[in-house]
Amino acid sequence: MTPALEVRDLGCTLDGRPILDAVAFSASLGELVGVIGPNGAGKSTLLHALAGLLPSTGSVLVSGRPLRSLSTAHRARLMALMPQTSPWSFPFPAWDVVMMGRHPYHRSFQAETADDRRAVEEALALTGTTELSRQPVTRMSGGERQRVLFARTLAQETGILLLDEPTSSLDLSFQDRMFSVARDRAHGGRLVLAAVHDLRLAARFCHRLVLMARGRILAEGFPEDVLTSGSLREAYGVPIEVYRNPVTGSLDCYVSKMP
Amino acid sequence: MNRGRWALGGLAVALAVVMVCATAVGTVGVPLSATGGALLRALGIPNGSDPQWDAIIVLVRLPRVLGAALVGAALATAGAALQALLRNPLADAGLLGVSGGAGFGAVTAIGFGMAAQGVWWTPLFAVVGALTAAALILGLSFRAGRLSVFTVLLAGIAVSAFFGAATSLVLTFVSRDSVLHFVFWAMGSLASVRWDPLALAAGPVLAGAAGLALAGRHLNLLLLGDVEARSLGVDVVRTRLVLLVLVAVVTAGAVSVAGPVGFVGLMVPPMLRLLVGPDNRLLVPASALGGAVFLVVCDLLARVILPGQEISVGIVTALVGAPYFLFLLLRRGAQEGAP
Repeated sequence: MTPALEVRDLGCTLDGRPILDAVAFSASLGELVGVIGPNGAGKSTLLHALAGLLPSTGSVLVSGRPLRSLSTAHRARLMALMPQTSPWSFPFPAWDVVMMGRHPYHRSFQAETADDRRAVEEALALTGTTELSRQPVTRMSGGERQRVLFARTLAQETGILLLDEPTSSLDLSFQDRMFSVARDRAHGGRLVLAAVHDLRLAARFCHRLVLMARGRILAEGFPEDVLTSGSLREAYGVPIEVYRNPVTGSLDCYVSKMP
Repeated sequence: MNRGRWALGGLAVALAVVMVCATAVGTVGVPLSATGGALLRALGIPNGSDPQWDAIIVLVRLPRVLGAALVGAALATAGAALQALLRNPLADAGLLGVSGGAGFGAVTAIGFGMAAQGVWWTPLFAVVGALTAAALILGLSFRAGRLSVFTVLLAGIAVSAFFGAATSLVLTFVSRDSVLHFVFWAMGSLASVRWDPLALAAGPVLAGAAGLALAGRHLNLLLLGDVEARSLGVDVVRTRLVLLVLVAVVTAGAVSVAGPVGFVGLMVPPMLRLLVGPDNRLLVPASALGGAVFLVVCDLLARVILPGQEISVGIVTALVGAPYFLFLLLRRGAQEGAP
């Protein structure tokens, strides 16, 4: 089967500085893949390059088709990007913002359909933002805005979801809830690729992990194989101990001592 | 959305009312019944009212009122669209260099005597100047497949300053009469609107404004910023370019009819944003109607506020608009300063 996403020798240079270098991996529908690594490893850049939003070298194949051959509109029906932050300065209600996720399916002047409203309602419900749907996004907290942004990404109903630190502003309970939604989407036959800072969340929810550092992939595979003291130390530059948390049963880690 | 429909309906009714009133009122007192009769006759419906006022109503006042409505609608639509395109609720189409370019075109037509040859020359030169300035600004901002809003703003300032200097240079060498003529043109006035130039400007202006009104959803998406708009499938550069060109055409058409009337695009859309919200699918059409109402009323004031003396409508819009603009700025400042 053709993988949903196949990345070969991906490179990206911003302002003369190489950010991604020879990145290669592939991922299939049904997977929740976590991209982990220290600050500046290139996780965000990787997601933006995969979404076709940055100039890059090498090749990205989406279901076997070169990313560059897809039009902006076609690409938006295949993959959705949830950015880390949203510079929203106009007081649109959350409903309108989430409805914008349906834009790729609209012809120029077409009105919203019942299908669009169903997708928006479902996305609002999944992210716990139904009660916020009439509220202007400019008056929301960072976490509420992030959930609205996640809702819009879900409403886009693409086969591939690229999430850039989707839970960075969320409290403990919503972190779990959002990752559960992401994993459900994967189990529903989509590919979810998420940049994650919190290694515990990554270990608990992701089927596979891609560990990045300095624009390259250091390790890739099942969480047990990627989250090892050796590879984490190499990536983060500090000694990190990995253990299985006896209460949750999943992998956990901590910085053992500062160098 | 329902509130929006009511707002649009209300504005349409208000526009009809102020247009009839503005046609009836003027330095020469025409009875309301005679105004109605003349308007009906102009539409080919015979009636028994006194026809002695027909010339004033149909040849002088009607084109002037329609011109005010067209210019007001154009400037407010362009303002609303540009505020979305530049992601700044207080932007104005003057930023696209249109006024500066139009000014240079007009001063050329006036200074070199073309204006005296016929009513066509000043508006024609103004349009050419306006579009040249806008094309320069967009051309300078459009590089390597990118169109940065920030560059548009900076290029706008530079190109406007350049055309302003060129205008001053021409004014240095022309006759006193030409300077006076240009000064009155630059104030913005609807006093000399006649049917033919108005009809010529109406086509592109209405087409452009309709295009902007239909692009509401795209304007909303562009408000999210480049990254989000692109990830939602908007070809940002092409969409922005097309919409900026429409804004330039609409504004240039308006300037050709009335000269550079200020503050309409700056104050009408923010005012209506308070009423219908930020959704451009409603805001742009509402701005078209609201801008028309606003300028028809301002032009009426310009005609009747001083007995026996008409003032330029640009003076009225600035006198009303500047304090309101300051109010908006202070209000925004207070909101941003709030915890």
